[in-house]
Amino acid sequence: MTGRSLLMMLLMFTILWGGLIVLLLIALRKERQKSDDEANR
Amino acid sequence: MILFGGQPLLSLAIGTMILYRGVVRGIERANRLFVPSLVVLLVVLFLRAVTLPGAMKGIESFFTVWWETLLDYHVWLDALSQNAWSTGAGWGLILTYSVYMKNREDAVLNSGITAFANHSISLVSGVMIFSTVYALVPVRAAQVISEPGPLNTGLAFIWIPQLFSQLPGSYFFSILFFLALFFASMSSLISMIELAVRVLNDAGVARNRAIFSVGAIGFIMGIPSAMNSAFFLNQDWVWGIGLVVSGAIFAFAVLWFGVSQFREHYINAEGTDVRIGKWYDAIVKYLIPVEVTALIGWWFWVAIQADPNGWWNPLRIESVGTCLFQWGVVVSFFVGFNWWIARTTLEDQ
Repeated sequence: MTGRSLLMMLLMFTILWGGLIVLLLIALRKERQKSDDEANR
Repeated sequence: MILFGGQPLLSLAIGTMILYRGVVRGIERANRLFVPSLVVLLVVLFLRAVTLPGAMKGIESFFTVWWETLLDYHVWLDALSQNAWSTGAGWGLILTYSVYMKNREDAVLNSGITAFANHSISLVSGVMIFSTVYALVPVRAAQVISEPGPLNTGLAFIWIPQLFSQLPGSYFFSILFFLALFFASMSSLISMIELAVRVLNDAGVARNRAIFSVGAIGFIMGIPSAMNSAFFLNQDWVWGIGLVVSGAIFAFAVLWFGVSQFREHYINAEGTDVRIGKWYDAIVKYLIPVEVTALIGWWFWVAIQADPNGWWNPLRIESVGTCLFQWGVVVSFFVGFNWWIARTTLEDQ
């Protein structure tokens, strides 16, 4: 595999999967916060 | 006899029946199990595909950028219409989702997850298919992958079963994979049918009658594409680009309403944690209109230069004329229909 293809692969995986993981973590935090708020009520 | 694409007609009939019988919640509940199974199976398949002997050539081919193709308008139009289709942006599914979302839900987070998940899974699937094709048919791989037109969208249905055959328990896992894929796609199809149903419903048509009408019209209008591959290629081209135009119409509606007002009032709403900044206004005001106008203008110019005598011909599969003619008929119909719906809805209120 050439260096350019490898670089492109790393770039694509990092941007897309990295972005998705960050957003899913935010969503998870929101869900936890919501269930904590409901429990406190 | 239905030669081609009979399955989409069957899926449409099933989707309509699901809405008609009111079992959408059942489908959503089933998807809580099926969608994670699909992702797990996809990861297993991905790992098997990339470890097949010869797979590296496929991965290399997948991630090699052919810079000269950036000068081909077809590549840009295909990419944009694929995105308009797969994310639901061009369909106007925003309308269906907005009706069923609560005020406190985070629209930005949900849209972001939809787009990133769609592209992340596409990336994994692309690597998986390329690796499998290059490993199993190394001599004809490039030809198999690059066969033009929508007929090569069936790649997954040809190569995933072959990939499963390289794993233990292939029969069971193939069934589970395609069942999960069926349920996942069914939830998208339901939101598409619901989009039209909701409009009719708002105009005073009884819900069950609206569901039946949308299903029946979709079914009847789908028959020619199911029976004739040339007709299907034409419809795929005309309405593939039609989705880009439809997305642009939505952007135009936001412009008409006021971009900043739309952003503050509807996007950065009560439950939104990730707030969208002013860059959104610039995208809707400048980037989208310029992108759509430039791409469609570029396509018209190249098509007219390449075929000065036949570009206007509405009977050709991929001509400018066939798109303009069909868009014109549909837009005229919907402008009239919109006037009727607006009048009926206002009278009801």
